[in-house]
Amino acid sequence: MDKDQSSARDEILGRIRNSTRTEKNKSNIEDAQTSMKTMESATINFAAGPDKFIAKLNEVKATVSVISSRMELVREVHEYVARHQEKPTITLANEPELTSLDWSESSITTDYEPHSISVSVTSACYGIEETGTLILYSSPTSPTGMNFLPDYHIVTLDTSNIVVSMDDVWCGLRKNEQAIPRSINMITGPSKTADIEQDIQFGAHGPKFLHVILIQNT
Amino acid sequence: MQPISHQFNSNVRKALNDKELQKSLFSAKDGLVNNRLKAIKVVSDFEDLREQAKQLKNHTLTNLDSYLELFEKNFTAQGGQLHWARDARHAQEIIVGICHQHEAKTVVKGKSMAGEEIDINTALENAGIEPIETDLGEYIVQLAKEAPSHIIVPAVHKTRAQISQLFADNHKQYGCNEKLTEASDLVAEARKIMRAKFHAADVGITGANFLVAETGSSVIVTNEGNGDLCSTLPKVHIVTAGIEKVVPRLESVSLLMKLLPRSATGQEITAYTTLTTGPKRQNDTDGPEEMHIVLIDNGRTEILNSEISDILRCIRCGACLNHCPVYGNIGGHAYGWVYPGPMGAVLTTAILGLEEAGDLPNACTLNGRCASVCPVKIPLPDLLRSLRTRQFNKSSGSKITRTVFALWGQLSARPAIYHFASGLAIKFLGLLGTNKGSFKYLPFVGGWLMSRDFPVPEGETFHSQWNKQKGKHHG
Repeated sequence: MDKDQSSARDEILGRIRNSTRTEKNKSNIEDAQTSMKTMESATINFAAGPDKFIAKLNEVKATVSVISSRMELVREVHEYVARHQEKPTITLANEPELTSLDWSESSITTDYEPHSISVSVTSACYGIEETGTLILYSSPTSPTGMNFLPDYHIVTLDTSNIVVSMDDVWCGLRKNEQAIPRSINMITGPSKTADIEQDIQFGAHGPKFLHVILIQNT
Repeated sequence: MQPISHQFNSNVRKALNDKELQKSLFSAKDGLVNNRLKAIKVVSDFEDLREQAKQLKNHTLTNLDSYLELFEKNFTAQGGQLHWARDARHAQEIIVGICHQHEAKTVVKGKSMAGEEIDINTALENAGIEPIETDLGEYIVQLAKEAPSHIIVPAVHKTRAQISQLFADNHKQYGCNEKLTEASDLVAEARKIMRAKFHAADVGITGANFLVAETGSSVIVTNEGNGDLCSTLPKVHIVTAGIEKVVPRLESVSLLMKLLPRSATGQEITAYTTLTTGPKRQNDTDGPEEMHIVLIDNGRTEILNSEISDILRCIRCGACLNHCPVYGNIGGHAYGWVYPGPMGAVLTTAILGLEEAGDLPNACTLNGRCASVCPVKIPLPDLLRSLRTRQFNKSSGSKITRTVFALWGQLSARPAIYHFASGLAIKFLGLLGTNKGSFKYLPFVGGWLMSRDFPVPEGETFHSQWNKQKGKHHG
């Protein structure tokens, strides 16, 4: 930090410490945080079933299909894409659970190409039943752009990973030993805008269509 | 933008006579209010959530120094670069400096009220860098060379016909020669033009709805997805945020997210809520190589140390604007700067000072709707009253007004004399107006009577009538 920056920092923090509103003589920040800790849940609350989550997805104009095993995923993606576009290239997140399947019927790639990507398939780690929200973590195999650049975004999610609320996602994140992902995308329906006379239009800058494939694993 | 809050009265007259503006305000009037009502109905404990959010924000403000330091520690540990800006000009210098360092030609921007506050677009333009607003509403007002008129719906004052004309005038350079009129076509055209700009931009600038101290993350809450493209595609990402945006933990985000979208647009949650923690990681295939956060003071530490510090709880949802009868009639531009409506009347006066914005706290009927819908329970009418007091103590305002209010203040602190004096006055006015029904003119209040008549009092004050009634019922 250069000299001007460190003096600006000290001035601002100094003014905060001198203000009447600031708590004086606090021992340390951990104490302050402890008082907020009551909200933290110790265990992840999973949803009883996918029904409420599906209803919420429909409310926010995402489409949903439910398959009974991962083996049906290729057929499901193929059928969805065929309904909307003629033989597009499908970009898959470069993850073994997707790439290990037999995609010989479709034209696929795992090379993420930001300028031309039109259909993507990525996997969500959680779904929030309260709001119909998908949680996607960025990683070397799952770049963030895949969630925003294509016209069609297809997301897979195991029904066993549907949780009750956003707090459960944080709980899961804390249980995960790894560092917090660079980007955590909480996605609820396709991209939209109401900036022209409050009239809702889909596909403002992100995907025009969001299709969720729920994989049932009991 | 150069503030024009000092000419508030003429701004208001202009707004009231602007037919297109009145049309837009009228059509926007009930939508956001009704959507909010529907969205809070499904939450059984909404009032309880408001109280929790207020406590959370108060707790954060009383420990603001510690949480900012914790945020700094965790954000820099992830490779982020944190900057502290004393004021708007300082923030401009920092941001233009980063852009120059990367020889930036174009900057794509997500919607950010902090960015508006520090007027970053003007600073970038003066430095030869093109700022491109990517949020559709912000893009529309940028094309119109205007400021946003609402903190959530920046182009709420524009009709579809006006937007259609703006696009037709400005999109020829991209080979779009057809004049579009349907909302869906206008959105599609903007998307196409903007996509190319996202790919070409050197720097992306976004705001932040929250900064999470626990993890060093910044959070943006959007519907269009433009903010995420700004923070993902360019090689440098800069976040502008006021120092009061910091919250302690991830759970603080979930609590405030139950309130923010519901209060703002009446959504249970927006299409996109994104936590970003530092720049691109090793082996990542996308993301910016550098991530900067500019923490802005710009008067906030002074507000923290004042009687209106509750305004720092504000999460910029816009509910107070949507429920304000004054905003509903004059729109956002009349307030003359960046923040309009009740929260704007407080913040503008606090940041720019009484001399520039002293009229704004007076443009309030003290009806209290703003406070009753505020998700963090900011007592906005009380803060506006405090600012009126501040104005009074600073000896501004006309001499007559000051003398009259000083006398009235003395009088109202002594109930017996007050009742006697008001009784006399009412009797006198009653006698003066016998057979008249109403006054069209009275001395000292000519302005007030220009648009209304004053009914002739019927000879007794409310208090004396009340006492008589009470006597009857008990006697």
